[in-house]
This record gives sequence, C-alpha cells and structure tokens, in this order.
Amino acid sequence: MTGTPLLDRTYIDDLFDSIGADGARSVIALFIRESASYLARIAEAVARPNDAACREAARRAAHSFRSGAGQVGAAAAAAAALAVERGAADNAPDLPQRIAELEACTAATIAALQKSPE
Amino acid sequence: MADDGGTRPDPSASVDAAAARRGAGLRVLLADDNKVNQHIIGRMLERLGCRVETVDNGADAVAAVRRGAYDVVFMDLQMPGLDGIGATAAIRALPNPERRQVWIVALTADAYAEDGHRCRAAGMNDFVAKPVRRADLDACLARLPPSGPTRAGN
Repeated sequence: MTGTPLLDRTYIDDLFDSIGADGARSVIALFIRESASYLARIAEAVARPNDAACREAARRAAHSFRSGAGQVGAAAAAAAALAVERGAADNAPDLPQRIAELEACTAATIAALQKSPE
Repeated sequence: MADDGGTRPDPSASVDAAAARRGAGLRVLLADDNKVNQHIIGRMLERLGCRVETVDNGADAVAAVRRGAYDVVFMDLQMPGLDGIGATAAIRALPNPERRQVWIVALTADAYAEDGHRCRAAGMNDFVAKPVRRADLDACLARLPPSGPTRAGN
C-alpha cells in the first residue's frame, strides 16, 4: 500500500460536484462515525485468532468498510482494508499487523478529512 | 415523447441538465449494506433525476421487486444474508414476468476480476465498478433498454 495517497482527490472532488458541499460534508461525517463500528468488528478477529466465524465477520466488515472508504476518496484506508479482507480470507499469519495498519491508516485519514475535506 | 439521448452531450453547463434528463422519472432500487454507499450513490442517482428507494440486504431487494415495478436495480454483490448473486437468482425466478425481467446492475468491487463473470452468469444485465462516479451511473443509465415499467413506450 506504499504509494497509495491518503486521500484521492478525484473521488472527493466528484463527491462535492455530484452531491453538493453540504451533502459531501455530511457523508464524510457519516463515514467517520461508521468507521468505529467497522473497526470494532474487525478487531474481534485479533481478540479471537482461532475463531473462523470471527475471521469471516472481520472479512465482511473489512469488505464493506473498503467500499465506503473508496467512495469518499479514502484511498489508503481502502487499500489497507483490502489487505485485511484478503488476510482474513487466507488466515494470514500477519493478520493482526494488517489490522493494526488499517487502524492507524483510518485514524490518519479521519484527521485529514476533518482538517480539509475539500 | 421521451428524449432517449440521440444527441451528443456538449461540454458546457447544459451537460448537467442533459444528465438530469437521463434518469428523469426512473424508479430505482438501490441495494447496498454500507450506509456511506447508500447515501452517495443514492444522491448521485437522484441528481440524475431518478426516484430512489434503498434496502440494505438481498432478501429485502427481492421483496421490493416482488412488490413494485422498478426500471433498474443497483445491486451490491456482498450483503449480509442473501447476497447480490442470490438475490438476482431469486428475482429471475419470480412468477410475474415483468418483475423477474427487471434490469439489474451489479455494483462490483474492483479487486475481484471474476466478479464480472459471476454477475453475467447470475443473470445480471450490467455492472458498475466501485468506487462509483456519477459519470459511471450516467453512462449506465444510457445503456438501459428504451422502455421500462415506469417509462413511456412500454
């Protein structure tokens, strides 16, 4: 995921053009609010590493989070979520690190979005 | 007479008006479990003139199509419970011929190349890759067949 920008201006600009500034700001706020519950579901897979159902729930949460992240231009978070999605599907040994990266990346993304969404 | 878009869009402010006509009056069902996607894609479709209803899982999508006439269904592939592929199969098996033939567009995640094949095999008519841009939706609406349940000509 090195080289993936934190924010992809293409999608953010499209968002402001397509649904207006107020709509874009409110959906970015929605993305930020939703992030915590997605990350909590994903983190369950770390808490219970041998639970396949837990991993599947984490994979699904990472997949859904990824599509929303991509839609608000959170490119690096979307890439980190894809790494978690694949790691959960393959039961990758580095899944906890991938999840930690996703958490750090999402925190940085939220900070960037709150600073200057447009 | 509905304008089905026989003219080229011109690169000016009227592009937006032309795009708004593209979806004018279309009744659209959007099935996606992510609230951010529901909001963004739903608002984009409304800006294109569509009337949008939203559900967040495949079973509710099937129930909505069974109840009402839609011109197009935008269907996420991975949803809790019945997924987009399963929902499409259920819609294609509905007893009412008009309902089971509804135009279904898959919303696919770009990371999986096999999704396009799975969508066609399941009986979906078209697909749009996520993240979705308004121009993608506009182009997708331009590919709709000329008549539909809520449009003139049917």
